Amino acid sequence: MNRRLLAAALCTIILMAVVLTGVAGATVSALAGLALAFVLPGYALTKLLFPGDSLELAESAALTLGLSLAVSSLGGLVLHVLPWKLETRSWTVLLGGITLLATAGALWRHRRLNVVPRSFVKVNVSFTLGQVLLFALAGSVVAGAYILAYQGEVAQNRTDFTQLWIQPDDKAASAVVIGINNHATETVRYRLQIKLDQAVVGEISPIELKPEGSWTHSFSLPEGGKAVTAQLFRVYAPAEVCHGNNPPDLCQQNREVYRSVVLQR
Amino acid sequence: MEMRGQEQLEVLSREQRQFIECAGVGSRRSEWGWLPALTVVASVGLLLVAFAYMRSRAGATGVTELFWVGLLVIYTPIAVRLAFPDISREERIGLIVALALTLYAVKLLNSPISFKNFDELLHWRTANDVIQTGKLFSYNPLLPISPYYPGLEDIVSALNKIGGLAVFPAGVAAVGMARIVFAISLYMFYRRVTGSEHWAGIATALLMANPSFLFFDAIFSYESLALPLVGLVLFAMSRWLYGGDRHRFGLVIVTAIAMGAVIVTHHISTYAMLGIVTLWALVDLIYRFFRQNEQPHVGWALALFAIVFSVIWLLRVAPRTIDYLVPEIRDAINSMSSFLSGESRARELFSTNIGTKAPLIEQIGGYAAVLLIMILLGLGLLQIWQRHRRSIPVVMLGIGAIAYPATQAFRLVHIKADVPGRTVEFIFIALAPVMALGLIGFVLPRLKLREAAKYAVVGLVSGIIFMGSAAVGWRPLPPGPRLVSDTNRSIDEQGVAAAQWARTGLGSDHRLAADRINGALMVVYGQQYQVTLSEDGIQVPNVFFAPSIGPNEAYILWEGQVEYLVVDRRLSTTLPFLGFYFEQSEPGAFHYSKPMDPGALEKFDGTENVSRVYDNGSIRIYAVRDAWNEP
Repeated sequence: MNRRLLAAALCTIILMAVVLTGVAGATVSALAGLALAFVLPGYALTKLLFPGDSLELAESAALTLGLSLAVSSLGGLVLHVLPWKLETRSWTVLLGGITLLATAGALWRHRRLNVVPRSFVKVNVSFTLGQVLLFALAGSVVAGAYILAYQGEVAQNRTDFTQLWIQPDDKAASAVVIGINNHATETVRYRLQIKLDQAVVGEISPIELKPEGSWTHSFSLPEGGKAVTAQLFRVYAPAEVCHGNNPPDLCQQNREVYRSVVLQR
Repeated sequence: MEMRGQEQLEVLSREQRQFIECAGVGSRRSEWGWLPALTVVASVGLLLVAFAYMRSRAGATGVTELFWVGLLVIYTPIAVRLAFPDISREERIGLIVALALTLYAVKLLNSPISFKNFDELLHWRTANDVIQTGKLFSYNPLLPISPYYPGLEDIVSALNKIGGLAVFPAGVAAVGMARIVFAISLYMFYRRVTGSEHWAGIATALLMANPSFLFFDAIFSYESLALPLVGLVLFAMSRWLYGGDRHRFGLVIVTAIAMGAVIVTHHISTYAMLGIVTLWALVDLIYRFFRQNEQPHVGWALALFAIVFSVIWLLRVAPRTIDYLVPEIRDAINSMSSFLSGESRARELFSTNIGTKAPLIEQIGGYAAVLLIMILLGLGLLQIWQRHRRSIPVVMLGIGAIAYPATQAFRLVHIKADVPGRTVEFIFIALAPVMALGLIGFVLPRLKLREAAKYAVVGLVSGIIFMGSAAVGWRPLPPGPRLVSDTNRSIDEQGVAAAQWARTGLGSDHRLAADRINGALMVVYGQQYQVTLSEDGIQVPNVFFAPSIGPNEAYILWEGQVEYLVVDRRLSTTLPFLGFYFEQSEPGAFHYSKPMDPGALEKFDGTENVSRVYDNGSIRIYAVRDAWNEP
């Protein structure tokens, strides 16, 4: 009996069970997805279509990956046509099912053709210690390059800004919902002023938001009026702002509109 | 010195011996040769590219030079080693895979966190739709043809649903796996049809020197999956014909599955595959008619299968393909006719839409690469005629390679579609082995150098072709400070945040108008519908450029049923990098002498019945539904 095929079948069953029962963590789920999309269906089909050892290792690899990609890309069509959607359960059953059917077929063909299976463990590939170290060094350098690029991208993309928005409140006729989000790396304090046309009808201060913090509030407004304006100011404690070491206009920022939204009624 | 008969016999015997070893099982110890050391060298090249990107972000000088040095360090040593005839098969294949993956990593270093290329955003939207709806063929406002070729998005859906992977890591994994399939499959194909591992190794290295390999065929786009599947088709066909395999039925099944996958994944790859397979069958037919020989015959069954399946797909599932491709082809033909008749001038080479020129080193590399390719093409065709004209697949490749000069002529013409850029990767499938033959059959025997020096020359020539082709081909700008209207350097957190707010704050599928970058972000992150001139025929750019919202602008908004306008105030800070802010046909495109008028972008605040519902400092979203009434 071909132990590699049996191992593939067992692995497929375990992965299917783990995914379908939802007990897997993120890492195991990711590995299951990679195995079912990139390896198992192609491997089983390769063994079914090419029983015996006529394929080179590289050919097997190309067929395993290539057939898995092809089956996955065609599998979506099958799921679309059938009543099931492209969801977790249907994908798992489809790709796992193809793998298991192909494995069963391969085992049957191997038996019928009296194919002598290779050793389960022995692979015709070996490296010296020096070669392994060189590959490890290459991998480390690649990882270092990626980390450099990743950190550079994160740092460059980093922008501190605040979002302000306004929408009618669906739950109350004369109310509006106002929201603030602080996309900065430090805690920011704000002052929010609401106007109905030119008259100030509400003010909240301070609104303190931590990095990535959000704040929303529904404001009921009196009847009448054409436009609701929400103006956001940044709040600096006077002692922090108005001292000799800061530019003199920094004190003015407390009175400068930082963000503004308007909702026409 | 040309090889005499006895030497040819010895070479043939050595190749045959390699094949005999290949067919056997054995317990032969694999030999990795220089592979471990060269992977370290390639990784150092990758590190140099990372440093180049780091310097680019800092605005430092020397970025271009460091970038090219890094690429050459990745490519050239491996190309030199592949020129050695007596390396083991494992080492040869290992080198090819290492080269393919390292070059892929260059693209990943450019955008390591998320997809940033415009084409990638288009397919991201399709992938999102498949994941969210669980169904195919949803409408994609940015690239309406994309949902009808869902092969890549199917794989991403599987990885997302089973493995919980987000679109970016799933897409990176899918394209990476496809690159491995591409490298091995094409090597195997070349090996089978040429009968030479040496020839095949050099051909595969030259294949990876095609202008699209480094970046365009590495992005999250349907061609990046389809092209490797075409390679799988060719590998399976060649093994079926020349492998002496008793499992020929299995190879036919593999070919059919791979063909089906290509057809449902990408239109142009499908037609390229049909072209190759049909040409192969045609050459085969001619040979059978005029020559009686013992070569295996490919027949017409697979070609007919592919033609029938692709026609069914085109007519029943994706008839929109015709509307998508025909205008581009017509434009290319008309532009070339106009150029040949003298009605239009030649395009300025190495010049962007806004008139900036590529660095001198890239221009020199580009010209050198094209010159070398043409020389090697000629030498390779000569070799085919002299020594391989009895080989059906080699003749087929030679005929296919002849298309290269014709496509390069389109570089001189002003056309919307990048004909050379969209076809070269397919032509290189035929061109690469022909060039390789020119090198090893004509150049190598005539070099009066020591053996190692000869192979170094082959590797260097390959390196020049690689560098020049990469200079000529499309590639994103290196990372750096934000630009206006260049996807890679225009996408930032504020744009993404605005789009994400639109989805949660407004709901999805609202009709909005925006500039090119924010419009794409709204479609992908915001799941909105962008009203455009190209898709809807609505002159929305005029609304942004106008000094005020008058009756004309209100009519445009009504005609497009536009609910929201996304205004990026940074458009008025600098000229657009690509030459346009919204669409190529906007007034003033490619002729801007100064940035957009800031007053035009601020006008919406004083407009009656227009609400500013979102503000993040740079980007504002205006609700304009109440500003237009039915005329």
